[in-house]
Amino acid sequence: MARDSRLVPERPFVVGSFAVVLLLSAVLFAAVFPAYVTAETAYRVEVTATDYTIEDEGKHLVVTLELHNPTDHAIEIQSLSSSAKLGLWISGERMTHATDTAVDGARIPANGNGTVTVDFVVNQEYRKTIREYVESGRAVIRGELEGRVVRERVGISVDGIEVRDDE
Amino acid sequence: MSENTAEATVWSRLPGLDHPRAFAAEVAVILALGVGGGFLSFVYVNTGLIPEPFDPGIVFALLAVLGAYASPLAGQLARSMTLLVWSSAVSLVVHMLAWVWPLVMLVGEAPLAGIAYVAVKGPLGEAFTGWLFVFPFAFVAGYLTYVLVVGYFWA
Repeated sequence: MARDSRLVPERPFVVGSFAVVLLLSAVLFAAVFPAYVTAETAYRVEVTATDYTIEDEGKHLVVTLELHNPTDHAIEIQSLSSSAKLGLWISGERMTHATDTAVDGARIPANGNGTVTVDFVVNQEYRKTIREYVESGRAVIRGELEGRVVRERVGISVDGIEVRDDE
Repeated sequence: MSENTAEATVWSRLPGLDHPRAFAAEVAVILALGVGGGFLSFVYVNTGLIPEPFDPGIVFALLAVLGAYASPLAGQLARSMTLLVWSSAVSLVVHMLAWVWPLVMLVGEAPLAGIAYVAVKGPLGEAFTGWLFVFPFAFVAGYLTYVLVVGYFWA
């Protein structure tokens, strides 16, 4: 047998410490890879509206969105007191301003569900119309929820979901 | 006897690796270095996904340390270079596979479309660029630093 083969007994410290570095590499990779897959496949998150309330004489439309995260890593939905990238649309026309839309944060666990509420501030001139359309199930939400996987930003598409009350 | 002769002919193409067990050990070290290097370069490129308390600096340092191991594990300068070259190639493959894996996985229903997407849309280029901007400056630099320091002080 070759004397210089790299078998353990000849250099136990080198091989042992090398194994530790390799183990650390594997641990880091195992921690990052599911997060990477989740960040790359965040579009698979399913969003549905499950509830809504009209408050303050129509000034606020508060919609509860349920999110299903089918990935193997949790996603944090960012809390925004304004400037959420979501809009309320009726008959192809945007009825709310992004600057007047707030979202509360939530943590959507891996392979689990979570809810967020979106608060649309409705201009005086649109309040009656919006109430009618929402109550008849003809208003939709479009845009994007801002999320984070660890520290990486991900956008979760909200593509024309109907505002409705499941109860 | 004829089998042994045939083996010796094959293994002796690599200097010093005139025994199957030595050759297997060499391949194992190349794979270990390459897979570890690919893991760490992938992790380093995805800085935003590194969990606390690790930060990219630690990952970079680990990658450099891993590269430095090519020398003591080989024991000879020429062989350590062989380890470095082959483990770099393995690390590139690991890094790129990890990079494109979600994209291929996404189109699991249509694997051919997924492969075409990966080939055409450029994630392979991104993966290669990511690897290129990290690996030589950490893994290879770690190896060269080790060889220079050890060579200067102890050779």
